[in-house]
Amino acid sequence: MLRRPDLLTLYAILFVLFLYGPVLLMPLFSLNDSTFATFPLKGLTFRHYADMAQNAPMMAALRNSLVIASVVTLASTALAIPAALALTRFRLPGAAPIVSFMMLPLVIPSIVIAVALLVVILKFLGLALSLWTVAAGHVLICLPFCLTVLMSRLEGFDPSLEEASNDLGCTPWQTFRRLTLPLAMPGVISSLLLGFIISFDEFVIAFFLTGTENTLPVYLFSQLRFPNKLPGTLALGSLILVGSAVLVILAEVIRKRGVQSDNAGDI
Amino acid sequence: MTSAPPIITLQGITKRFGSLTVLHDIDIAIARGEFFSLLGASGCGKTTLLRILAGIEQPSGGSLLIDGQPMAGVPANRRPTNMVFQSYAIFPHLNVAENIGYGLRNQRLSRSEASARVAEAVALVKLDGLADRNAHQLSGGQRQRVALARALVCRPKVLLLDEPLSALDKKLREEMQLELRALQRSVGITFVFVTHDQEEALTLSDRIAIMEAGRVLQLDTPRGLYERPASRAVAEFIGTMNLIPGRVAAVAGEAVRFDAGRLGHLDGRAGAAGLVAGGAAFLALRPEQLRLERAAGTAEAGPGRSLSGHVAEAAFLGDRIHYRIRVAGLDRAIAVFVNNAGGVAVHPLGAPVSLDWDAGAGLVLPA
Repeated sequence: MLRRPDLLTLYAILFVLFLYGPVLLMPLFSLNDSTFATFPLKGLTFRHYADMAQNAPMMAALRNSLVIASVVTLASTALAIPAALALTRFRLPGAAPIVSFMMLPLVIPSIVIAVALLVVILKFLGLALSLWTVAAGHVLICLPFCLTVLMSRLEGFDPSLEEASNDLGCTPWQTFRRLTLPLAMPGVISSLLLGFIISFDEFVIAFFLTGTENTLPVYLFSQLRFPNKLPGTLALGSLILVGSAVLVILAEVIRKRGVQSDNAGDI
Repeated sequence: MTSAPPIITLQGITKRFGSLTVLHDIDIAIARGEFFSLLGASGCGKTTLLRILAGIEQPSGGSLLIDGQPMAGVPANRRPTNMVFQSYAIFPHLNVAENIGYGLRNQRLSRSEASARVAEAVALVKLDGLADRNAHQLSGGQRQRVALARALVCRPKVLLLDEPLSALDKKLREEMQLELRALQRSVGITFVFVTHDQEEALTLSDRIAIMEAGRVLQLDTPRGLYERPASRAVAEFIGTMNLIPGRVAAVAGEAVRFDAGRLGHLDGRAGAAGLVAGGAAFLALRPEQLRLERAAGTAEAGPGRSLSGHVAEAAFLGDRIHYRIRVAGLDRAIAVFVNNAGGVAVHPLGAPVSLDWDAGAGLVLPA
């Protein structure tokens, strides 16, 4: 009776260590006064952070990734909102195949998508590779995620809410702006965050479709050959870790608020 | 009804969903300021008809005029109607005042005028002090009031109500019925009210259209429907009605001689046009219009207006006594309601009794 919970506790601790241990080593070594990421620790320093800020190519890659992720998530969410509305509001003929079709990028390996897009962009469209082609590829893979998040949010509505808004004198566009969008806002924010993180972190498509400029994942991969560059990478990684934690907490707070206002919609 | 032109005119309104016809050729004229009810069981088409008035559904055929204006091609947001939805459809992201003021934002009012109108509506439905409440902090009755105020504040020519009281408990429902009626009188707006509850319709309405399977069976005042039901379905739907099966023996103007088979010939008056001698029919008798006498065979009204049997059931309800009288030759026991005006003796079970009724109380309806 006593041993079983002990074993389970041990399992849980190991599980958490396995999940987060490697990630948590990163901020640890980023503060260690040594070029090499090894124990024993030598002492506390912030010089890796200073080096990182001085590293112009790395900062350029970071800026590229932030810009691409922002553009991509805005575009995918903007594209997904009307699609989610159409699929949840109307009885469209062939709605099920349309949804499956839009979800397809989820299950196609990104290497396949990357090669296919490369061929299309170079051979059929005759465009030069650039950050814009990366962004276009990212919109393709973010769209199904944004669509799923938005559809699950929009499906819960009482359809008479929109009828009531219409009845009270709103045109369909006013109803969207004053009722549907505010009610869908927690879903929209989740969609924006999800799209941002997926694009920011994506490697394969960015690697294939980028031109002369790098996104951050591609740049970091290229720097792994130089051990002395590693601490700067660790410093940047730690900052991104903190940034993502803040974003996730923010998203969760907003989602909780959304759940509260949802309960008000139940009748 | 007055000679003023009707506020709503429905002519030949038909609605089909695919191959299913849910409304057949509906013709109704609703007078200005009237409290008009559409009464019927679920699936009779009453809500669809209401949604056609609101512009949420489009009719497949026929014409609809509101205040003399044809409504074909006029979307819901440009109609002079507002609706109280069955679910109330309170906007969950807005508070009470914002919910009520929602429609006013589309009416190009000044900010001060709009807030004055909201305050007025809040007072009208007795929600004072709750203007800042969130939707999820409201009770069912309060939500209903918000929905009502939100529609009335837009000053529609017609207020449409889709079973607004069905989600409330019995006591609150009866309270709201009286308030609704008083509210309608004070604002003077035409109300079109959908319900499946005949008592509610009788309590509230100036006139009622009884609907069944997409058709209007009868349209009349509550009293007219109760006293002159034109068909068996209406007779059974409104109140309690005893129906004795048989045939028409002879028709002489209003007076009908009714052949009740083993029970002999009974007198009645014609409840509908087109009764012909020999046609299958029912004699309809209201339970409260029957008199009950002890001992068989001594009814006062004479052989054409009496029956005899014995007490099968007796229920004492305080203000009245409900009897079921078993009559030889009838499958269904006859219901008799006797008013307890004080000191009325209760007939014991099994006691032989005779029933009789006044001339004109028996209504002959086609089968």
